Amino acid sequence: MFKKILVANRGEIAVRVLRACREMGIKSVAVYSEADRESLHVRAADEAVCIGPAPSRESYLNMASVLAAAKITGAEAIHPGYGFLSENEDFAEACAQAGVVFIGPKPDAIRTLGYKSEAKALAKKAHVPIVPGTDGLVRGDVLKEARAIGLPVMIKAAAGGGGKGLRLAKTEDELKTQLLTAQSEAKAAFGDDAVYLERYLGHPRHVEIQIAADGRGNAVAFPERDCTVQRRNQKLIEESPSPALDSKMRREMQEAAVRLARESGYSNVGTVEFLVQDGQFYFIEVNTRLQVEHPVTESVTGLDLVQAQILIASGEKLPFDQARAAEIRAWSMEHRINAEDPEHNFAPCPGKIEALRLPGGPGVRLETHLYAGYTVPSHYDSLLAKLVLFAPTRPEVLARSRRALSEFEIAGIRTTIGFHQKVLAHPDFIGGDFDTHLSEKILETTHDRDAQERHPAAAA
Amino acid sequence: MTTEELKDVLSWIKTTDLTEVALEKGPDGFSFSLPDAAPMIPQPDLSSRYAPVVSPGVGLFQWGEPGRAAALEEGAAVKEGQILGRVEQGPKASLPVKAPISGRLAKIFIEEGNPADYGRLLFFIEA
Repeated sequence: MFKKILVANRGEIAVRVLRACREMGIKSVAVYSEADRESLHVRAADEAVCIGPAPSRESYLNMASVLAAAKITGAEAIHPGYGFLSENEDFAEACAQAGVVFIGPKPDAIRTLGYKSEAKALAKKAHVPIVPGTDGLVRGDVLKEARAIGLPVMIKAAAGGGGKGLRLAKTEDELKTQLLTAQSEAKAAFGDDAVYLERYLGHPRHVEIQIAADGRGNAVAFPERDCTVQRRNQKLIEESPSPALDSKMRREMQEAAVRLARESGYSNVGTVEFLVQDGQFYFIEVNTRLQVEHPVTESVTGLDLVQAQILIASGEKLPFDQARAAEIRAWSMEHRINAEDPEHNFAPCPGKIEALRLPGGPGVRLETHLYAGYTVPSHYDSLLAKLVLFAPTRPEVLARSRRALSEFEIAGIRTTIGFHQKVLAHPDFIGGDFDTHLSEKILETTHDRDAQERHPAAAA
Repeated sequence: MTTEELKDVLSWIKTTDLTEVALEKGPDGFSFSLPDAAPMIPQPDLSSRYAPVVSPGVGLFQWGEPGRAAALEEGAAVKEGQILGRVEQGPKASLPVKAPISGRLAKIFIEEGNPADYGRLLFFIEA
């Protein structure tokens, strides 16, 4: 087992990983940028190293600095968290060359699965159903290709993620302009304008399967996470199990995910994402890292995925078998609380936390790096806290969510707490019957109602 | 306590970095705060003739340029732009540490081979 681990991340996820290290009796090193000198993860570690100025590319994305920090502190392994260097095969490779263990999959697996078109080819090979689309990258007659798939079609960046380079073409007329837009967005965001086409599913749910593999032939799949509540392809609420799945479909999806893990020679934890519509599931992509929403799965199964990551990376066998991994012991839900203003198109709202009251009590788990007096820097993503609830049944989780959100007070900056409360009050969400358009629907109705309240005459 | 005595206490408080004071004496007591009292954080003397030299990145400090180790001692004369040492990040990566002004190496805070993180104070140069 490792004696010392460096955590190459910040915010709540750095705190989460540092906690795992402490529980396992492993010494820890935090790295931080100048903007994060006062951040909680710096205090949660045994040692901390300043790796650069505020901009990510000069600090958290600076491979040489992160590796040098591991070297001067004697860390044997690096946990990348999510985002930043977590899905960067060059970094995984550089770690190996520097003699440091990268806590994640091998560079080859990151490369293959990270490139969406290659991942799809692999899925096909592993008999995992995929959304009908172009076999490879779009080059020739786009119109002909789109007709073969059936409009509407989605145009996607091959190197994509986070909604960049993603465009919908509803009609043949729209195809050309949307294609150009997607290509230029992809070029700007990833330095690569390669795109492919896929049939557009009109009312899908987003359901993903957590996997873990030890690179010694053992691979398991966990209960699904339903991440259907999204806004512009950013997840807002995740729950497990999914209200839309039965046990047969769950088992089929788990088996498909394990086949893909084996086909790619996967090791460590990862997530296979699917779209679900009309009783069918379609593979979309693999995330070769720990997910933001991993605590949902931990709450459902009672297992620790971060500790599992560390065990696997140190060369140990998977600490649980398939039966244990798939065991559903509770219902769980996660609310992502962001420093954003829902009233103003979710614009980021960094600033000083003047006062803070945290929710607690039965079935509440809070992952956060906040404290009263902390200033949320403007340089990084806006995630403030993950409020994770668990209870024996879904109605009990919903009641717990409402109760915990009402306890949660963050003064000084605007947050998305109120938006989560609106989702919890919506009949479609309560009934469990909704698709990825739910948050838009809620925002539109709220907007209309607010407008009517301000201008009652206009509404009449 | 009389008003005159309170005035004395108040003028004393103004010489400290206290912003609130409470005194209890039996049933009688008093407390007051200075809402506009700024904590007495020492301000950097911008007119200092000492220029700090900090580490440009994370790594191990080495004197001189690669292959030309040249440890300096306190009191040594340095020229603006002179490479005093480097911070080695890995086998092929090192960041130069340059003198921001010409002058005398007044104080050395690091030793050969010691780790430095970004922004660590390495030297003071006296103009």
